[in-house]
Formats: sequence, structure tokens, C-alpha cells
Amino acid sequence: MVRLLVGAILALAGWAQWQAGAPRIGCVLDPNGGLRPLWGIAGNFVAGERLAEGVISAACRDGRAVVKLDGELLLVDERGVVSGRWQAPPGPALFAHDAAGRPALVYFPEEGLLCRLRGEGLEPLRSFEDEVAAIAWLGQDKALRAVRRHGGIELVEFAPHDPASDVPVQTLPWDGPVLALEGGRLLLGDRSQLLLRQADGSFRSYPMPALVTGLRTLGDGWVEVELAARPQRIAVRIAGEEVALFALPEVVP
Amino acid sequence: MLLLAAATSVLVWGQLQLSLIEGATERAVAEVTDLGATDASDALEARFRARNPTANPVVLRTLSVAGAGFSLASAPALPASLAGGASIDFIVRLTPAGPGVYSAVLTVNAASVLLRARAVAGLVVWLEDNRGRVRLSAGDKVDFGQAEVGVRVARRVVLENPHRESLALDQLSVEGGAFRLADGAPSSQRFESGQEAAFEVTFAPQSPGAQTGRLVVNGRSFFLTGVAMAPPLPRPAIVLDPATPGSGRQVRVRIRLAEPARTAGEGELRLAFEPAAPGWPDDPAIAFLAPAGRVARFSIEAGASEAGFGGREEIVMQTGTTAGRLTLTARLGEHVEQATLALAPLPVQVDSTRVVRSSNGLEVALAGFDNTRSVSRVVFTFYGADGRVLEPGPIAVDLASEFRRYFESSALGGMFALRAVFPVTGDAGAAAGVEVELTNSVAATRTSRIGF
Repeated sequence: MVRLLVGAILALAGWAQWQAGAPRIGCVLDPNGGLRPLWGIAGNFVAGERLAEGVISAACRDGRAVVKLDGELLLVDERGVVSGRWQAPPGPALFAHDAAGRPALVYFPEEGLLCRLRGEGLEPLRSFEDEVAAIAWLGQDKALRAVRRHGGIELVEFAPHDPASDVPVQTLPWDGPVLALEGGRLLLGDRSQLLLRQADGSFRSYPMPALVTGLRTLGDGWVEVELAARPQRIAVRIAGEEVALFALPEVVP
Repeated sequence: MLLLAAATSVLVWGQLQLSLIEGATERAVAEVTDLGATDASDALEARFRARNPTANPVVLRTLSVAGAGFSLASAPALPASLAGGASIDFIVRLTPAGPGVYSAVLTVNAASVLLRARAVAGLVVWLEDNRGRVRLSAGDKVDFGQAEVGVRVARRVVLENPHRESLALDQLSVEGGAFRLADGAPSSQRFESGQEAAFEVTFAPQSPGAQTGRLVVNGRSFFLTGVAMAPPLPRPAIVLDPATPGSGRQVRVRIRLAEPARTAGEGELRLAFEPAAPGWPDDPAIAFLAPAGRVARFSIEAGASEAGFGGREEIVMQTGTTAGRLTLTARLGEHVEQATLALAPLPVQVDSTRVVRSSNGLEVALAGFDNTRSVSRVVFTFYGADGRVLEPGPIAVDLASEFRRYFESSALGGMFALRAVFPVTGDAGAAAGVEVELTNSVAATRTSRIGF
């Protein structure tokens, strides 16, 4: 087996492809609803020119962005070009990406509507009446939603196509901000700490310098954390179980 | 002529009318004109006006005042021609030598008038310092000079009764926000002959700028002036955490003051960067983060030992990913302080790695920076699950031209992302990990093993 691979590498190394480019962390929102690419590495960030305006919600993975405007949903590719545009319900949106990093599910809280995002557009799947705070794609037609209920958060696994498939899996005693990460993980803010829920249901906590008031996806493994009374924007990198904090540059509109 | 003029209550002096100006009013001069009274320590000034009431020019050839203590304080050059209807002003001053009645003859061309005035006994006001005393007349200025805000400057004033009769002090006050009567100043009292009393007037400004006030003694005013200066701002020191950062770091910057500030103030912190090689472009990541840019304003409050950046004690900056020299310059008042960071050339720094295995290939992606922009050789070494290096061993690739092309087009300093894809036709699952070695002009750096 090893010999096969060795032979393959030996034979094909000359055909290998190389590409050097700019390191992309993801996207960052400016105070006026402008979406900008965020270039850089840990501790060395540069915000780029606007990709879109009037952005209500956005999520970036692998250099691509799914962007919710007031009445539209956009896909923006690595070059900053709009590669897809669809009419969408008003208000914000929650996104879940599949294992390959593609946006798979979109949830519109104002309509309570869950849709599948395919190349040809939005496919309505089902609706929820509860207050959904985050959604995650677990793979194999299984997803997870975090629902605010009775001052806590209930995690419910479900099949996107099947309204009768809901299975509550865990109730969390926190009601702070919550964000779905890749791989079915969840990030929660509870007072002055972050709680990372792994896909297996285990938790780790990380102290923060102030009260956590908001969480927003920046890119793969990167989250923006809003802290009370802290005008400095904070970026958190989550790698495995390691969490590191950095200051984000102020993005001037 | 004189009698005729007296009869009409308007004196005409060789075809000139003479009047006394009192504020906004003009009073015709009589043969004997009483100029009123003054304190024996003060001068008395009277403004006269000579007018030509005719249609023809008149020449003023003679103008004089004769009498003890009297003088002309202001007078036109003679001869002076006055056109018809024109007028000219002059001032007669009485400087009394002491209490008493004073008189003088004022002559205008060929005619004269008698001036009378009285000097009354009053408390003499002295300004005293180490060199002696200076007698003050009403309207004189007491200058306190320049004083820092918050600092108190005092002037010593002495009241004296040099006369034979006793005198009352009915009024002693100071007006003007920055000026005060110091404790111990005399209150209403009588001064016997030869008695004197000293007190202090202080100038303690609370804000910079010219300040005025007034010392009033029995209705006589003495003007108080002073200029308040902001205290010098303390010398700032630039404090970095970490103290000697290299490239690719976020640094907390504080401004510490050499001593607590005695006044509030504002300063500026400026960031400048000089790349190690002349042809390298600027690095946009080298900046303060909030507010974003290379110039940050800071403020200090009175009593503070550190500056504030918009309410925060520190500001965060990035050192970027280009080797060179970074200079921070803090300006506060007259002080200019600098801190220089040498961003030494480094081996390639790898920040993140990612490997993806598919059925027909292996993808290795990494991101990092090369602050020398000189990546040349990259070596990939694949490992099996047993930890042995897979044949054919390390795969070395010369990527110098690839990186040169990228850095020439990049405006992101030395940051880069590298993606390498290895197509395979066998079972790619046999590859358990890979190590990547990148070489630049400084040295080679090798990642830890990255598992698939």
C-alpha cells in the first residue's frame, strides 16, 4: 500500500501544482454594513476593499462569502465577484456550511424558514416556530439547531427535510450569544467566558477580558467576539482546543 | 474781549473758543475754572478743546500753563493752524506734591484763564518688593508677570497715612477671578498719622491666558494684570509590550509620563516604517488598529502618570511582515521621544497549516510570512503511519520564481499562502503526515508534522 503511494508521488511529483497567494482569513463587517475581505495571519490583519454593501448577515469560508442583504442572498467568490444572487425573505439569516465548506443551509429567523442552498437557488425545506439562534450542518442529512428556550439553549438534531425528525440532544443553562462552527461545534458566550462545545457534546471554557455580548463568524476557525464596553474589536482563533485572542483593525467606512 | 466772552459765558480767545471735555460732555471754560479735586497721590488731568468758530483760519501760537504742579500732558506742536470750524485738544495735568489748593494760569494765544484744583489727603498706596517701594497712583498697573496655571504669585502692597490727620480705610477689595486679597489684609479701620499696613494681593490663575483685575482702595482703582502659562507637559516615554517584538506581532503601546502631569494636554504618536531593502513596498499591516492608521492622538489629564488613547490606557499596533526599521515618535508639548524597533530578517514563519486528502490527491496548504520576501526552496516530506519517510523521500521544489512573482504583485507585506497539490494514482490513504521545509535568505524553517 505504501509502495503504491510512494510510486505515485515519485511518478507525479513533477506534475504537482503550486500556487502562492494572499492569505485570506475571511470577511469582516464595517460599521455601515459593508463587507470586506480580511487578509492576514494571526496578529497581522489587513482589511480589504468592500465586497458588498447593506449587509445584514454574512459568513465566509475558504475565501467565499454568503451574504444576506435585505431582500437578497448573494454568493461572492474568492475574487470578490458575485457568483449567485437570489431573492430572499427580509431580515437577517443564519448559515450552515457542509463539510466541504460550502454554504448548505440558510435560515431566515423573521420567516422561521429553513432553506437548502443549491446552485440553482434556495429550496424551502421546513419552518420552525421556536427562536433559533444558530444552525449547523452535521452531514448525512442531519443538522443541529440551537434554540433559545426558558432562559437557556436547547440543542436539537433534525433532518432538514423531515419535520418529524427533531431529537433534542442537550439543554444548556446559558442564554448568551451562540455561533455554529465547522464540524458541528458550537461557540457560546456566557458572561466573561467563551464555551466551546465539541461535536461529541463536551465543553471547554476560555476566560475573556469582559462580558461577551456578540459572536460573528470571520472565517475558517476565526470568530469575532464583541465585548461589553470594549471598543477594540477582538478576533479569536480556534484551533482544536486552543483559543487565541487578537485585536482586529478598526474598519473605517 | 475777555469781558465780552465772560458775558456770553463762552470765552473766545483770540478768535478761539475754549471748552472743557468731561466724559461725553463739553463745558464752556470760565475765567476761573475749577478742575475739581484729586487724591494727593494721584494726578489730575483735564482735557481742553480749542475751537475756531469763524469761517476763516486761525493760528494757535501760544499755549502754556503756569503754576506749581501743573503741566501740559498733551499739546499740539505750535504754531498750529485751525481751519474754520476746526478744533484741537490738549491736556493739562496737575501732579500735586501733597494735599492743598493748586492754581495755574492757562494761556491760549493772547488771553488767559485761571485754573484751580484741590488735592485731598488720602492713604498712600505703595507697591513693595525687595528693591524698595513704588508709590501707586490711581490707574497705575500692577503687573504680576507670567505664572503657571496653579501657581500662586503674590505682590506686597502697603497702605500708609503720611499726613497729620487720621484717615479712614472704607474700601479695600480686589476684583478679577484670578486675583485675591490674601488673608490678613486690613479691613475697615482708621489710620493714624504715620501708620501703615501691608498686605498681599495674589495671582493664582486656573486657566492659561492674559488675566486682568482691579485693586480698589477707597474708590481709587489700580489695575492688576498677569499672564497665566500652562505648566510644561512632562516628558513621555514609549512603553511596548512585548518590549522587543519582531515581525508579525501585535504590540501594546503605552505612553508613560516622566512625572505626573500638572496640566491636561494632548499629544501625538506617529508610526513610521523603513523597509530593510530599498525596493520593497510599504507594509499596510504596520499600523495602529483602533483608531486605524499610523497616527494616534493621545491625551493626558492633570495628575495622570500615563496617557490615554480615547479612554483606553494603551493602543495596539501591528509590526507587519516586512523586515526593516519601525520608528514610533511621541510628541507632547515640547518633547519629542522616539522608540525604534529593528525588525530583523527572519526565517519563514508558518502560521497555519491544512492538509486535505482525497481519493486521487494530497493537498497541502499553509499560510505564514517571509519578512525577507525571498522564499526559494520548499521541501515536502511525506510520512507513513509507521512514521517512516515515504519514498522517494523529500520532494524539493524551487519556488523562487513563484514567490517572486507573488511578492511583486502583493500589497500585503511578506504574508503568503502556499497551496500545493500532489496528484496520486495509488492509495493516498497511506500518507499519514507531511512536513514542509521552507528556505529563505536567512535560513530554512521546518513545520512540525501535519497529520492527514
